Amino acid sequence: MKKSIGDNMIPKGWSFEQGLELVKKAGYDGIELWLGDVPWFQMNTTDAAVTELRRQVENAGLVISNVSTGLHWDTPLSARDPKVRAQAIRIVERQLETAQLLGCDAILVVAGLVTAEVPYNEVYQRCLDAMKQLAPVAAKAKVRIGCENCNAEQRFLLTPREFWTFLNDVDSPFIGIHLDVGNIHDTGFAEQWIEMHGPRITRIHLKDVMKKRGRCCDTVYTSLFIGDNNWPAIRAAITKVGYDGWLIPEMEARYRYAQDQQFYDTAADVDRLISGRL
Amino acid sequence: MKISRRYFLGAAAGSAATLWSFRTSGFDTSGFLPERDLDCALLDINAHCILRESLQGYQAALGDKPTHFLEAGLNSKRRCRIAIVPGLGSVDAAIADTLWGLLEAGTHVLLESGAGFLSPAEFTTHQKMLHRYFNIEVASPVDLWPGEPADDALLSRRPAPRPRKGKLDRLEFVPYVNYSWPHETNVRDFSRAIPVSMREGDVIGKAGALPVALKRHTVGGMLIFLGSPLGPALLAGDPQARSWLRSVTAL
Repeated sequence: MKKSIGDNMIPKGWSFEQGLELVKKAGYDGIELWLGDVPWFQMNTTDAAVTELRRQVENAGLVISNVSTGLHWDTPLSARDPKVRAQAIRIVERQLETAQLLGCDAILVVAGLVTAEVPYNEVYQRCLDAMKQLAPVAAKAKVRIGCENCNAEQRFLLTPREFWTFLNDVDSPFIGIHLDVGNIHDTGFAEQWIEMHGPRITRIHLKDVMKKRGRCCDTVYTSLFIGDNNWPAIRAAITKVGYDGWLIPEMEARYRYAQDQQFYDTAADVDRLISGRL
Repeated sequence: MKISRRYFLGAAAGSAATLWSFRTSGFDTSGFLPERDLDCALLDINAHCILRESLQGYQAALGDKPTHFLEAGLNSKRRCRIAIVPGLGSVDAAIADTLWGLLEAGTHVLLESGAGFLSPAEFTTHQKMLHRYFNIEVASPVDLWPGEPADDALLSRRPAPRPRKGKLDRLEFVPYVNYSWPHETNVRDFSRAIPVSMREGDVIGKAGALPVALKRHTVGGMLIFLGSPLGPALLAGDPQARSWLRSVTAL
């Protein structure tokens, strides 16, 4: 397995090149690029500029693990407004285009957002329609779309079996799951998600979660090994299903001080996970 | 208030007719109603339908009945019990003429507006069109969900969606359109509803206190107007929406 980290973790005020240098020095193999979340990679970033990003990454001795985005939180594929949905589709298409330019074969998509206003059944149908529409585009690009399990925040596809049913309904080898082992927290067990989805897992996001242990009994995300995830079980499940792809820590927040240290600490945690010394 | 084709023709004079075509689907009851070609016709008005998922919803809801599709346009000579026009954005004189032909022949016409998410300028055109061709007066769309849901703000670590303007308190809002006809039922709202004038016909649906659906007798069939789309709820499999549609198609 290889380890990567998001470019949205690069300290604010740092340039992309400075960030790449840190990522490489900390021992990562690759970097995850977040469309729309960082100044150097926006929807209006030209193809030429995207190609230049790739050159910078490769010059730093890294590769791009995948293209992610948080844009669908504000522009969901499940929106009732057809214009918003069209823009959401365009975001995915741009992810696919840039993934090709960047030489990677997977993207992360938040596939829908259930709210008090937009109910579950509508979200399911719209996301299904969107994924069926996008599957041939992804196939043509030879890039897999990983729908992220955002569980409680997304309130959608809350169990591994629901997610499995959704992927069955989409029925495309180019639509899978970008599994975040921290997002499951109160709704199940990460190792069971890994077991159930196996070959459909496009990438794995790593973070830990402290269940009902934050202030006011909140459930909060935290760094690896501090929280309640059963990491030995997660590691065993990864081995069981033969996942040998990217592991990408997604930290809830940057260190407030000594920000570069977070990259080293997290890389060491991922190394321990990969080695199984838990 | 009963309105007639004469009213329409007067209003529509000078409006350029355009070629249009649509497909119809419905359930064949030729043995049941020998004088009619179709029991229910679902009209796809192509680009004039701006809420395609609504059309899909009606197709899904009517799909359990024997259906057939006609590639040719439905003209007023082809009578049916009810004709449904989902997701209406715009109408030209030719479409309106055909719908009036159906109404005169005794067909009920269910006109569903899909204009809730149009821009203000586009909506003004929609508004004028409804008034000109069908004498239906509507006001600008009302946002039924103006605030960011409280739990979203608390739970999400992600960038929160932009808050909308408005005064309606989400916590006091019940997210249903209450239909009082042909039978009483509640169906999910569609975020934005188009209020109808209470002076025109009988109000048959309300979102809270807001009238959003009406029916009106014409010289022939009945004109039913929905200012809150039903199709998306049909597509989502909402049992009450489907039950309401069954009642209407059974009129």
